Amino acid sequence: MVRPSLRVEAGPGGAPSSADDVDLVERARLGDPEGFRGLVQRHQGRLYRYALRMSGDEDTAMDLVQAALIRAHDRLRQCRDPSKFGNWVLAILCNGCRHHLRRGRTRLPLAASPLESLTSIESPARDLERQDLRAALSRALAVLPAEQREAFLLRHMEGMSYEDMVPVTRVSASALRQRVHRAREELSRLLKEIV
Amino acid sequence: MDSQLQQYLDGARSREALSAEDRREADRWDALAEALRQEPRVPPWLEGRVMQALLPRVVTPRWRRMARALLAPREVTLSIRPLLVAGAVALAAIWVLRPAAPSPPGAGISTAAGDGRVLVQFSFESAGARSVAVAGEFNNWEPQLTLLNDPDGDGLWTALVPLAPGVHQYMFVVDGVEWVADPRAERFVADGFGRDNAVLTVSGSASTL
Repeated sequence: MVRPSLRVEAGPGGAPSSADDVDLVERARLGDPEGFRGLVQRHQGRLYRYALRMSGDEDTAMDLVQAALIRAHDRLRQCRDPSKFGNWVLAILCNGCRHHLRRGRTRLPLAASPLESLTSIESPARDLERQDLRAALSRALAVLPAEQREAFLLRHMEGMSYEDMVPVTRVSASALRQRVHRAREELSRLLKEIV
Repeated sequence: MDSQLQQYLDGARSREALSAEDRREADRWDALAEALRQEPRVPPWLEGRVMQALLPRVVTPRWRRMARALLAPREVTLSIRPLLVAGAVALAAIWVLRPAAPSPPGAGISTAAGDGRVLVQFSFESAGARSVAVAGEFNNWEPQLTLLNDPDGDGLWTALVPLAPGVHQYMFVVDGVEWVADPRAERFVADGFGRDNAVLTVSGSASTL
């Protein structure tokens, strides 16, 4: 039996279940603000985590997520498959992160980082055990080229298949696989003492 | 990094097929992934901030936006329309304008903006777009700062932008979200995200263009 691993395909790293999204999207389309509020509540954690890992800054991540959600609200009728709202809004956020990083306004911190300041929902003791790993991982992610970091996070943090990543990134599956492989190689080198 | 481990992490190989050493390494990757997936505590004010930003938004009806576009000043667009008609054979194009100098379509003519900069015509065709902007190094990649206009609603969006002589990277931004490289750019460079930015070279002397 294959144990849960970095190659997770769904679950805690992925989007919330899509069944409720369909109803919430429909309500939001009809002008019910509580419908969109429900979508925000369901997806903000995942979006914020992605923006935080990509930008390396909490305030920036907040701004990016807010902008993505507002754009999603404005373009909600263009969401062709409400059951995939999670990946749809993630694609908007990815685009926003790309734009932000392209402008060169973000420099991921190499020392203190958001990953180190994360508050775990699990036991504090386990948190302490992971401190070194988080610090090292944070530094390593900061070194990765943006396109590799993006692909790696979508694959392993969001648990997306390469096929699901294609519409989000508009990059071919083969190119995404290559980026993820390179990211692993680089992370492996950078985290040599851990991985 | 071992190719079999890569395959395992890609979901293309079972754990049982790994060597003992690769399994140990896989365990370490699992620990790394677990730390990565740990969800940060979302600032509690994020939801309120988003909803607050949405509440005062007033959606302008499409007919009003179209009317506004039709009534908008059109002198710039009209001045270059003949060139566009003559040269519009592709989705998008750039012309560098030179005053009072007839030029073959697409060859580009220029005019000085008066401060050493050169007015550059950006155009992009998108019939279904609600907005089109051009973002580049010249405006710090701001997607809402330099908007193109389509006053007659024919899907041809244009803008005149004063640019300093030199090399400029740029992209079109459709509806504030979709970034599109100009297919008629003279050349492209990788943007570091797997796509290409369009590149435009503006001559240092307008008279030589």
